[in-house]
Amino acid sequence: MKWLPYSLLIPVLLVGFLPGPALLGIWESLTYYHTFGAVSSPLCLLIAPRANVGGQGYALLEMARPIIHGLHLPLNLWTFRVPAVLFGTVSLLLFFTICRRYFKTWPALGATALLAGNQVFFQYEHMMTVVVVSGAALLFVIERLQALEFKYWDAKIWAGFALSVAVVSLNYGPARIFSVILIGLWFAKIYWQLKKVPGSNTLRHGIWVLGVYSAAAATFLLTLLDYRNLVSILRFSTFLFPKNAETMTFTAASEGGPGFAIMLGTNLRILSDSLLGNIGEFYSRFPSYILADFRFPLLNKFVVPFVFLGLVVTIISWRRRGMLLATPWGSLLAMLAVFSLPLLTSSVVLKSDGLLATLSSHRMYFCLFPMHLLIAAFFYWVATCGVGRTGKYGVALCATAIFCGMTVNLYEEQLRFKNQVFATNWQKHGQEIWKTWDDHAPNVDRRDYTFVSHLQQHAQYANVARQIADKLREQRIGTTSMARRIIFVDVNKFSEAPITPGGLDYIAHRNYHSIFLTLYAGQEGVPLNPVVMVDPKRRPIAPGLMSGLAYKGKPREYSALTELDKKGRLVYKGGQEIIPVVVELTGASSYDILVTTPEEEAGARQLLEKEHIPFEYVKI
Amino acid sequence: MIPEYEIRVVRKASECVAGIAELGVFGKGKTSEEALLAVLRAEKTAKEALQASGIPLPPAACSLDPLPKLTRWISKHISFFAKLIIGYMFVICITVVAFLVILPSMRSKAENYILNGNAAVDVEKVMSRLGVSLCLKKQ
Repeated sequence: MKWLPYSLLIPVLLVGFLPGPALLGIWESLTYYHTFGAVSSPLCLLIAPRANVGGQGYALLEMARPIIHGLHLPLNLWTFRVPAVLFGTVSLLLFFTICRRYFKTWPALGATALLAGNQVFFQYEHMMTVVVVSGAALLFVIERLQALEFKYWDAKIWAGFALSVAVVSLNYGPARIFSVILIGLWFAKIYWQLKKVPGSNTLRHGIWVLGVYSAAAATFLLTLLDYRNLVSILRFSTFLFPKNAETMTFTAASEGGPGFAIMLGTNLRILSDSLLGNIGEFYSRFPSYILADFRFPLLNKFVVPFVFLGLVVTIISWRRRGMLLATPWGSLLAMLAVFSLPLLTSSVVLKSDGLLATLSSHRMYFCLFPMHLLIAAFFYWVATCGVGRTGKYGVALCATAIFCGMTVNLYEEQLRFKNQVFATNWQKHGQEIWKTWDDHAPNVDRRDYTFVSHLQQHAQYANVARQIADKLREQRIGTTSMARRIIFVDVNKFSEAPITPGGLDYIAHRNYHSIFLTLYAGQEGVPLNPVVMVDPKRRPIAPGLMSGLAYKGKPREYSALTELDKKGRLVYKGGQEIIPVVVELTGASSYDILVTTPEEEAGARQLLEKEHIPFEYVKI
Repeated sequence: MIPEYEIRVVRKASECVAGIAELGVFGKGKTSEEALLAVLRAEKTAKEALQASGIPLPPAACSLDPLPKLTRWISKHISFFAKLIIGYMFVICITVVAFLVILPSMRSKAENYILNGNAAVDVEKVMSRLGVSLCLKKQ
């Protein structure tokens, strides 16, 4: 029977392979354009300077492009999201390991299943943002710390701990803060725990020295990745709290803010609604709307009782100790406090139309782990504290039913969202699209039209991509010609175009439409290579401009600048020398070239004529 | 081989405490015998729990201290002059890091030195004199 829970873990992990959202999210679209919009994108191994969700150059996300090219995969939403799904799966495996060490195998399996079926976890597992990578890195730190409680003498575990610290340092800011607090608490716990035991001086000394060695090894590793990482480590306060980044601050108490009490009250309401599974005033009814930075409750209402019962069990047992240096219940409470209390200091901004709270789903994401550990604690109590066979099987049956229900919900939500994306009114733009995307929830600080504008923009790409796919299939059926095809889609079809990323000025005002359209065409089974016009004289990031930017890696070449002409049409900016470049995005071979402006069309024609390659036009 | 753990008994005010650091267990009693018995019981329970979970017994604490181990290894394998040079470099590194952490002006100079690429050039020069080519890219 020992192998049974491990074999049941496989279907739990397979939940992550259900189809993800049909559109790119706001932050995810920045990752996509930053990685795939460039003519070439070498991996950047610097400690992310702003370490926020919109910051760019996270190597563990940008490896999507080398994966697609290296494995000759077609470019589509699924292949683009391979790193996210991979790190989501790693997160589940690490979570299962952590649970199993503290609360045995069956409770660990139950909690992991409920985490895998969680709507918020699933959304982030299918979004290429740094959140899922940092979640996995943070769990890696926790897992190594936990392993040290059971084998504090093992040099391999200390080496793994150093590696986990290096990985978490490269990524999202809040995960760095949580890791530093957790590591500090761990060493303090070990100190106080051993201080009570006579003759423990040598042991304490040994653990302390191994900790220093690990810190040195992590620093060395980061320096090997990029020597400039040394500067980030020297500026430790900026490393933890980068400027203009996503940090938990008391800024609401500063001038212009609504005041400390309102900030605390607002954040408390947001967090408590999330933990109770309430839509309330701050949450959307649809988990897919996380794509457009809406919030969705962390816990499903059916899961909430398990969490609260787990909390009761944990509070009652918090002084109980485990084997060697382990303190499962105390560690769980510490984790819960570390992942939730700093969130209450997230800033709240006073705007003309009301409050805007910065406590978003991507900050609360990390709370999912202690919440589900509480569930494992409750299952462990059920399994060990004499509730009888009926009680045990009853709880197991409930957990299984909830897991199955949640998995069906995940699938249904993706279908619902897909229908919304391919609705007939996709050509609309401006304020009137609010009706299309209205989820009939108050969303008091997310009611602005600009939030849903992103969804409409990408729905337009998805629908035009479907038109392209239909037309190309039709044409291919009637012909045997193997000439290359130039597919012309007028860039001005995309009337909804809101992206102007602050802090990433070098990717603003570009022709990003063709790059996005290529991805959605790939999703329809049509591999395309877009043409972009590049200004060879312009370096995208001059060294003087780099200060304060959310990316400090090697300069990259994107499309030349665009502007609106007198008729309001998007054209390449005049007065710049531009040359056409076919950006090979898909790893699969493709005969089809995508152009979206007359300049690109002429450029593609010139390139093909120069090489004496026959071609034909397809106009959408 | 089953490791043998040292049991340390200390008197604290009106009670005695006996402990085995490696297992993180201790026992209290009015007399040292009582404390000893308590800690032996705790040791037995801890060992049984570890055995049941498949976790190996920890080594004796004296073997965990990495510094003496490292010192012994250095004494055995490295000559006096090499030790002198390594020790000297170590002291210099520690002093430089301490200054960098304490003095912000020095820190900013060090940061400029690294970021401007001068550090890379200097390292390359030193290494090339030693016959090692790093082929660092110029920024």
